[in-house]
Amino acid sequence: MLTWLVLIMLVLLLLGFPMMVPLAVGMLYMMFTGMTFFGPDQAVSWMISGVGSWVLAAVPMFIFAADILTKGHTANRLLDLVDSFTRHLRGGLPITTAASCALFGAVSGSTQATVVAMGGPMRPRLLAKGYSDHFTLALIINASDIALLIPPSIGFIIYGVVMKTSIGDLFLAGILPGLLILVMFAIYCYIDARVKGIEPEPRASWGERLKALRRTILPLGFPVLVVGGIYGGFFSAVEASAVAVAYALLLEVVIYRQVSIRDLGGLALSTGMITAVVFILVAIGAAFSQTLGTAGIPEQILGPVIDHIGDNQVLALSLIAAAFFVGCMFVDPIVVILILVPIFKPLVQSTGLDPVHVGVIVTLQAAIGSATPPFGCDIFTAIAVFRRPYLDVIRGTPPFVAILLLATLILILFPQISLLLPSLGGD
Amino acid sequence: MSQQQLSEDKKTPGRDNGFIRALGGLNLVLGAIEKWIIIICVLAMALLMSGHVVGNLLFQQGIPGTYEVTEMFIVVITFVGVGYAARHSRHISMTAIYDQLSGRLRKALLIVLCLGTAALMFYFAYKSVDYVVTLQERGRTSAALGIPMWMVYLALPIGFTLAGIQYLLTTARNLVSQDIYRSFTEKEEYDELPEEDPDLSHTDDDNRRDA
Amino acid sequence: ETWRFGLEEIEGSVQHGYAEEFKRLIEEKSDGDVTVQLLPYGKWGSDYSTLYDAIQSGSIPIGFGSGFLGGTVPESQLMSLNFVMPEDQLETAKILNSDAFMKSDAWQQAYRNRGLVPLAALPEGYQVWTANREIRTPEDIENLQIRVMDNSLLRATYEAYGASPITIAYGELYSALQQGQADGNIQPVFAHEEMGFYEVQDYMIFAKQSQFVANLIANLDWYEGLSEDQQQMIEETTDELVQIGHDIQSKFNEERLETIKEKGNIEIIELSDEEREQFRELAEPVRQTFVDDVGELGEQALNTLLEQVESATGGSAQ
Ligand code: NA
Ligand code: NA
Repeated sequence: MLTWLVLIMLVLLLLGFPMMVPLAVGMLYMMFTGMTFFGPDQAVSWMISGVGSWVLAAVPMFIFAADILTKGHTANRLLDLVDSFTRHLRGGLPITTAASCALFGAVSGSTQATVVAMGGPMRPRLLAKGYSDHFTLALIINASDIALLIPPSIGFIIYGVVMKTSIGDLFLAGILPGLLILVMFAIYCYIDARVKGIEPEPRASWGERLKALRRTILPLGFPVLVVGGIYGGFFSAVEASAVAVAYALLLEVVIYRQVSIRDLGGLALSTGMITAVVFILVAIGAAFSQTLGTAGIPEQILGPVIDHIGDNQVLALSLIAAAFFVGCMFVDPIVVILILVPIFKPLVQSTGLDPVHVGVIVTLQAAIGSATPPFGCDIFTAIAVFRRPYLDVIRGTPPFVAILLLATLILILFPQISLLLPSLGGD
Repeated sequence: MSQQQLSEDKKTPGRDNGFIRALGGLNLVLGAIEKWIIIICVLAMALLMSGHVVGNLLFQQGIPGTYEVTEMFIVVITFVGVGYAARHSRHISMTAIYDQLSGRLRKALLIVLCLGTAALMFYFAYKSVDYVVTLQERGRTSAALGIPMWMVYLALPIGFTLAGIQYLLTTARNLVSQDIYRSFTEKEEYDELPEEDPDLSHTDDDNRRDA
Repeated sequence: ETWRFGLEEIEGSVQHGYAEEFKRLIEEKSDGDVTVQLLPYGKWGSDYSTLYDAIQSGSIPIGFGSGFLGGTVPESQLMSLNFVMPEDQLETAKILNSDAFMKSDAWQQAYRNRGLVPLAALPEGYQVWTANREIRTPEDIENLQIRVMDNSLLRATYEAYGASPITIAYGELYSALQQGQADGNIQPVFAHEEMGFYEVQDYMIFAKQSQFVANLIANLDWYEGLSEDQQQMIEETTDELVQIGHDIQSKFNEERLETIKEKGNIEIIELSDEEREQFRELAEPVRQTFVDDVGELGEQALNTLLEQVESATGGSAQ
C-alpha cells in the first residue's frame, strides 16, 4: 500500500498537477484505504489548523514588507552599498548578490521574500555583466536560503514551536552558520569569475562608499529595529513582522515617497497571492502529514534505522540531516519540519544532542531543500517571479548544493559554530 | 506582476464566441470579489498587528483578540487566495515533463490537469461545506471575541469552489481556442531574458533604472 | 472493540498518567473486550480544536478538553474562574467528580448540546503565577504585564486584580519572558518546568486562586451507543480515578517543583490567607462576567458548584 501511495503521488507530481493535488490525493488514498482511522472530515479541520496559526502570520507580513521595499528604493540602496565595497573584487557582483541576500535575510523572515526582493534588482545586473542565466538564477535561489539561517527565520520559528525549544536561542545559533555559508559562496563566486575570466570593475572611492552608506542609513535601521526590538523585549519575533511592514511604509511612503497609498492595494494583492500559493501547501501538507503520522508510516520507515543509532551523536545528526535533505527534496520544508521533528525528538533526547544545534542542521537542510530539485519553494518562486522554464531555473544549482552539503558536514563536526552565540547570549 | 498579463486577452484569435464572453463576464465579477477580499485582509492584518504592538508599547494594552483575528485573516487569505492563484495559474507545480511536450499533446495534458484539479477542488468544497454546517450547528466560537467560527471558515467552500470554477473555465478556454491557456485569461509564455529584449518591461524594471 | 483516547498533553504528562490508569482499569473490567488506544498530543494533530473536532465527530470517541475547550463548550470556562474551587486539591477533585456536580442537568446539558458528554474532571494542579517582581497583594500586581491566553474571561480576571494582561503565543513565551516583553506568566507547575519558563523568572507565587482542570469528555452518540454495562464500567473507573488522578498529579507536580528549586534561581512565595482574601474580593465580580458571557446553563453550573463547595467546606476553607 505504501508503494502505491508513493507511486500515485509521484505520477501526479511528474505529470505536472499543482503540488496540492498529489498531497491531497495521497492523503485521501490513505483515508479511503483505511491506513488511518481518520476520514476526510478531519482533513478539513487539519487544513484549517495547519494555517490558522499566529506564528505563521510572520510569513505574509515579511513578504509584504519585502514587496514594499522592492517596489520602492530600499532594496536598491542596500545593493548599492554592498556593491561599492565589493565591485573591484573578482566575482564582486555575485558576491554582492550573496551578501545582499544575507543582509536582506536579516530583514525578511522568508527565503521566497528574499528571492523577490534581491533577485529582482540583481538579476539584470548579473546578466549584463556576462554571467549566464542559469548561474544567476541558481545564485539568487541558493543565496536566498541564507535568509532562513539569519534571524528572524520562519524555519527556526516552526522548529522551535514543534521541538519546544527557545526561538531566541535558535535565532542566535543561526547567525554564524549563515555567515559561514556566505563566505563559502563568496569563495565559489571568486573562483567561478576567475575561471570564466570576467574582469572586475574599478574600485569605488571612499567618497562613493560614504555616499552609499549615507543613502542606506534608514534602510539599515531595519535589522536594528527588527532584531533590536525582539532582543530588547519590545515585541516578539512574529510581531516584528508587522513592525517591519510599518517601517517599510514609513520609509517608502512617507520618507522616500516611492510608493503611493494607491500602490498598496496591488502590493497587498501580490502578497496575498504568494501567501495563498504557499499556505495552501502548508494547509494540505499539514493534513497530509497528520494522516501519514496517524498511519504510522514515518515510524515504519525510520524506526528500525533509529534503533541502530545508539548514542552516537555524529551518526544521529547525519541521519537527521539526510532525512531532512531527502524529505525537503520532495516536500515543502515547513511540512517536513512538522512531520519529521516529532519523529526525531526522542532520538535527539536519547543521544543528548543540543536541540538548538539540531535546529540549525534541520533548518539548513530545509533551506537547501527549498532550492533543491525536484521540488522547492524558492525554485517555484523564481519560476513565478522571473517567468523562466523549470529546467533553466535548476540547471546551475549543483555546485551550490554541494557547497551547502559541505557546510552541513562542517556544522555537524563543529557544533561550536552554532552554539557559541547562544551560550554567550543566554542567561 | 500578474495583472499586466490580463491584456493578453486581446491577442486571442477570433474563435472566441458568446459562450466564452459570457463566462468572461462572470469571471471578471468573481475575480474582483476575490481580489478585494485578499487586499482587505492583508491590509487589515498588517494594521491590526502593528496596532497591537503599538498599543502594547505605548499603553501596556494590546488589542484584545489580535491573535485569533489574525489567524482568521490567514485562513481567509489562504483559501480565498487558492481561487485567485488558480486564476493567475500561480499554483506551484513541477512542469519538467509538461515543458518537454508541445502542440496537441501539451494541450491534452493541460486539460487533464485542469479537470483533475477541478474535481479535487469541488470535492474539498463539498467536504468543507459539511464542516461549516456542523460548526454552525455546534456553535463553536472564538475564545477572545466570541466570533462564530463557521462564518470565518466559509472561506474554505468559497475558495475551493472558485478555484474549481477557474480550472473548469481554463478547460473551456482551451477547448475553444487554438492557443494554450494556463488559465482562463492568461496565455502561456515565459518572459524573455532581459538582455535579449530590454524593452520588454517587467514590473521591477523601474527600480532597476533608479540605480 | 477499540476505544481511542485523545490527550492534550504529550507522553509522560499528568493526562497521560491518568489515561494509562484508565486504560488499565477498563481493559481489566471488560476482560479484554475493550482495548483503549492512547493518542497523545501530536498523534491527532497539534491544534486543540482539531482534537475537539475529532471527539465531536466521533473519530476519537474519548478525550481531554481543558483551557481551550471554551470555544467549543463555553460553560467549561467555569473551571478557569478564580476563587471558586476549594483550596484543597483533593477536595476539588471530589467535588468536581461528585454526582451532584458532574451529573447535574446544567453541566450535562452544556456538553450534550454540543454532541459531547462530560465523564469526569482531572485537576492537574494549581495555576501558579511567576513574575519578575515579588507579588503578595493586589498593589504588587498593579500594571504587571502578565501573559494570559487570549480569552475574555482570563483577561477580565487579571484586569480585576489590576494587572495588565498581555497575550503571547505559547511558542514565543520563553523569549518574551526572557526579553522582558512580559513580566509574568500563569501555568501549572509542570508547564513552568517543561518549557523552562522558571529559568527566566524571579518569583513563583502560589495564590491557589484556581487549578488547571482537564475535562474528560466523550462523543455523545458513541456514549449513548454503549451498553449499560459499559457505561457502568466507565462510571466505576472514573470514580476510582478521582483519588488515583490526584495522586498522579501531586506526585508529578512535586517532582517538577523539586527540579525547579534545584535548577532554578527562583524564590517561591505562598500567599497567606489574608493576602489571598484581598485577591478573592477582587475576583468575585468576574463571576458575573462569566454568567453574562455564557448564559443560563453556566449560571446554574456555577451555583451548583458553589453549593457543593459550601456544603463540603462549611464555607470557610475556600
Ligand atoms: Na531571516
Ligand atoms: Na527541494
